[in-house]
Amino acid sequence: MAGTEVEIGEVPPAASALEILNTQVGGMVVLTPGLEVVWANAAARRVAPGLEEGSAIRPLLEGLTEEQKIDRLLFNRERVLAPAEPGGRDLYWLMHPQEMADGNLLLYIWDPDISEDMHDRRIAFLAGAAHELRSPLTAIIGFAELLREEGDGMDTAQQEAVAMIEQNATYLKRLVDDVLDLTRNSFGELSLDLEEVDSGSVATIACASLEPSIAAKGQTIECRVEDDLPRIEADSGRLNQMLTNLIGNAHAHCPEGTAIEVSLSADRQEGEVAIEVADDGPGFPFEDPDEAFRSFRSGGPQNPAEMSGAGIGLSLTKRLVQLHRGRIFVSSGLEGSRVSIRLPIDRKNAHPEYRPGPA
Amino acid sequence: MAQVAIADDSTPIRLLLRRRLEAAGHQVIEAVDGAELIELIEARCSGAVDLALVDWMMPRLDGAGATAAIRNKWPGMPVIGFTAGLPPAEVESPATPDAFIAKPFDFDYLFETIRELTAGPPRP
Repeated sequence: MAGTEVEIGEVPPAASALEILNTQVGGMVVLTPGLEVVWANAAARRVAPGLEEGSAIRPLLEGLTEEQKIDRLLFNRERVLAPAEPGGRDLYWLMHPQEMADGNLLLYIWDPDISEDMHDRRIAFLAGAAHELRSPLTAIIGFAELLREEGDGMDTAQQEAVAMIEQNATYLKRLVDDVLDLTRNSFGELSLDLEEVDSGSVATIACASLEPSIAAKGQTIECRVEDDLPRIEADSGRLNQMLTNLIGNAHAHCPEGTAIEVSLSADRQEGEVAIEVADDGPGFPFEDPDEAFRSFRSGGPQNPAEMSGAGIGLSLTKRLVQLHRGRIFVSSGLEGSRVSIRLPIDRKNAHPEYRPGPA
Repeated sequence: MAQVAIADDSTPIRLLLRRRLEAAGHQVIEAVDGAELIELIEARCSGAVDLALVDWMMPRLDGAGATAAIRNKWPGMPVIGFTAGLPPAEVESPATPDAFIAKPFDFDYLFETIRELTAGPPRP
């Protein structure tokens, strides 16, 4: 390898990549889908000396079904607390696993004595950041609302200006919330408050709340809910957040005259409720619709003025769909874009194609 | 209508609350932090304040401290806490307000909460 020039962006040679991983402070463990240890870096072996032999993961997971194992590794809000050695007193955490291209899982492993403090400081930082960002937004949105309500003395152009301030500040507030949620997700903090939910009425409310802003841009929205739609096990607040994101994206990215259509129907054969948000606008500016889900990627570089954080909303939406054990599809073409969310009616019977996937 | 005492270190937020509350027919006194709020209620309006609205993050005396002081001095006075960050953990203590309201404000919800808290029988 000596003398070989490595271009930026090129994958580094495997040997040096492993060396780099071995010098990382954070512990990393690669597991097969069957949860056998494939590889652990030096930091992980320091935290959990038993890892090399592949014996450390097992005591924690013995006697569990496959689904329970996945549940425990991927969805446990408390994180997994595992003994470093069978019967030993040392404990470590396995946090926010990510699925890799080859199907193996990458997990981060922490010594709780060290990470407890770090975790607390991160949460304190988050709380502080949320406060700092939301306080000025409270004043901006609050005064814009006041002006709108007392706006009799203003001419049309002034009322329009106030409406723009209010709509954009509200949009910014939603982005702040989404960014904070994504950050919480990367700490393994994002979780669902599950209950039996009538997704049809959540969608109807989401549509109604965005309708004024949509109408103001000369667009239309229609919400169609199939009769006798089964209730689903979901977090209604998060469901509203997903719908608001998708409808808000269509609204923000499509021109005047666009028709936005939200439809909910049951696919009893697949055991899912299908939620679709479609528009007849110009479509996603991506060659690959999956691009849309990448965090902090939006509207494409050709027109930076149009950048509006759709990537944040979509990647959070994807994560929320995954937490619901649902699936999400994006299609985009000349006739507009369509985002389909399919959520399992019974969360215990997720669709076979459901993938927990990386955040 | 109620006599409302507000405490928030942000001038625009105090102005916004004052305008909204006065438009709804309430009377407002305002303080820049929890310590000034306690002084204000004590010096000027002791017994005449129906409700306190306190921001949770304030210098000198924060929302939890102000709530605890109000509970101690004026046990019947309802307190609403404002939070712009993550809601504090739900632990019942003297510093727990009667309600938490998230920033940015949903004023319909705020006024509904004020109505509920000022209409009911006084706290024991």
